[in-house]
Amino acid sequence: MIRCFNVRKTYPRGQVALDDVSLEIERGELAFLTGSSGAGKSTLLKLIYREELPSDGQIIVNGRNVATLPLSKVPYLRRSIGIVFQNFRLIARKTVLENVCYLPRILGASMKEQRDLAEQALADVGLADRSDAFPLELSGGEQQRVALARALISKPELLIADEPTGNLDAELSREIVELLVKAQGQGTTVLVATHDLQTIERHGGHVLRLEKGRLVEDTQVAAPGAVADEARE
Amino acid sequence: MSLWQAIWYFVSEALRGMRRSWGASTVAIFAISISLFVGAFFVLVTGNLGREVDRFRDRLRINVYLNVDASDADVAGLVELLEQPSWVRTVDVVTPEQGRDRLRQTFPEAFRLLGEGEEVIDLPPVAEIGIDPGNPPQASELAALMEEAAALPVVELIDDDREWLGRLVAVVTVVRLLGLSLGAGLLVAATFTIASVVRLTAFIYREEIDVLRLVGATEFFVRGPLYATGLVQGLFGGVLALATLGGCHAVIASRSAETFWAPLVFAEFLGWRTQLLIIVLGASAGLFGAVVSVRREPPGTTS
Ligand SMILES: Nc1ncnc2c1ncn2[C@@H]1O[C@H](COP(=O)(O)OP(=O)(O)O)[C@@H](O)[C@H]1O
Ligand SMILES: [Mg+2]
Repeated sequence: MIRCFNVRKTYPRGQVALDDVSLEIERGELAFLTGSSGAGKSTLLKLIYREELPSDGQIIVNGRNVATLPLSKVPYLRRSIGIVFQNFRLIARKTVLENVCYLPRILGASMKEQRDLAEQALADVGLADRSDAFPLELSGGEQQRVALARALISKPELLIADEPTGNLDAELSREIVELLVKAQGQGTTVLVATHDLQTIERHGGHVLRLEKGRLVEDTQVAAPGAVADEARE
Repeated sequence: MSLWQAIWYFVSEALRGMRRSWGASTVAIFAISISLFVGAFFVLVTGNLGREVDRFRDRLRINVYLNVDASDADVAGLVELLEQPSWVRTVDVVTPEQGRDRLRQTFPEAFRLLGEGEEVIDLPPVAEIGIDPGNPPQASELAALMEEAAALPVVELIDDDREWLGRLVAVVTVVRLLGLSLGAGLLVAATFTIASVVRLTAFIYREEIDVLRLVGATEFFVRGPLYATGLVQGLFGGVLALATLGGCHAVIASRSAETFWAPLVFAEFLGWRTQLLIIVLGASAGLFGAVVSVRREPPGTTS
């Protein structure tokens, strides 16, 4: 799903954010990108959804070489990727339903199709009854679930989450992670940047650790549940 | 999404945005309407003046006075010369006797006072040139003919209205040019006003624009509402300018009997082509302002 070859990213003023990173994330995986603040996690994600261009190296996302993708093709790449952020990025003066509807609306869906899709997406994240609320009337956890509904509304092949639980307490974080896992269970490749190691230990998955822009760990961590299951057999 | 759907979406988003920042939008609309009003006002006034001048030009007559003792052959020679150009419709010779009759009709009192001494008034023969209004001469053609006529020994004096008519035409042209450049200058300023307002709109909507780009909206879709904002503001400005000018015209025309100048400069309103042009000009200026203001913003500013 994602392959990086010797990726380097240097920002205009010389800060080296990524240094010779090569990695591969398989279709359908649950992958965690970890590392301390400033390690380059957000930068790597931005390269994948083509918010930034690599200074060097190649990045293949779902068969597209994003390093050479013309600007006019970027929207079509983005439509196959759902993206959520730490700060939700919801539009305060739009209702929850309208916030979720952006993608079907730009694709020209009818009002009814938009509403049906949005209500399904909201139901999937457990917010079936909040479509007419405004984002600021919701808790942080609920806002992040709205953002997830927006990202997942058209069943993207890839879901990218940059510190999705960074603003949430442990209980709400767990809910969000459950939803990410659920999306993976439905066939979406999920890539989460987080420094919440507990989450990783609880769920297991493909762990990639960055340190000062270098990839220092690339391992498959088994979920404790799986270990317990094996032990029981 | 079909083109019509997209246009509908752009315009409704533009109207929503204008309602949201209605103060700035009002300023933009007024700026563009003032500039178009000024330009259109001068076009209206000078258009009417020009028509008045043309009407006068159609009736323009040139009188060539001959010597008092000119012979019939002299007169015939002159008429032959004057009749040559295609734009000369008529050459009427007024003999001294006819001239005296005209004078008698015009000033009967004076003739009665002069009594029998009619012969005292020694009138020269006059050749009156009528110009074909459908095929008016170039100024140079007219001048050439007059020069040729003046060179004939029998010609005493040439009296024509060309000189002051030419001056009037020049004044009308200058006034029109002044008005149009004033309007054009104001239009440039108004375009920048619209550009600023559109930039402000883009700033107000930056979060939504980021989300649109994030979920995969094309630049056409992201910028469409901003372009529509400029276009709609320009359109409203054009319509407002025309409506104001139309109101002024109606008020002044209704009182035109009271003034001598109103019929000269406000006789007719602008033709529909000019009206359309003004609205199209407003819309284009608005669209241009929007394009200029949005162009500066690089795509992909999601971070
Ligand atoms: N837009 C930017 N311009 C310049 N430097 C940046 C920019 N974004 C990130 N950086 C730098 O790149 C490095 C990696 O940042 P980032 O990818 O945000 O790390 P993380 O998400 O792991 O905290 C940091 O040193 C940061 O200062
Ligand atoms: Mg980060």
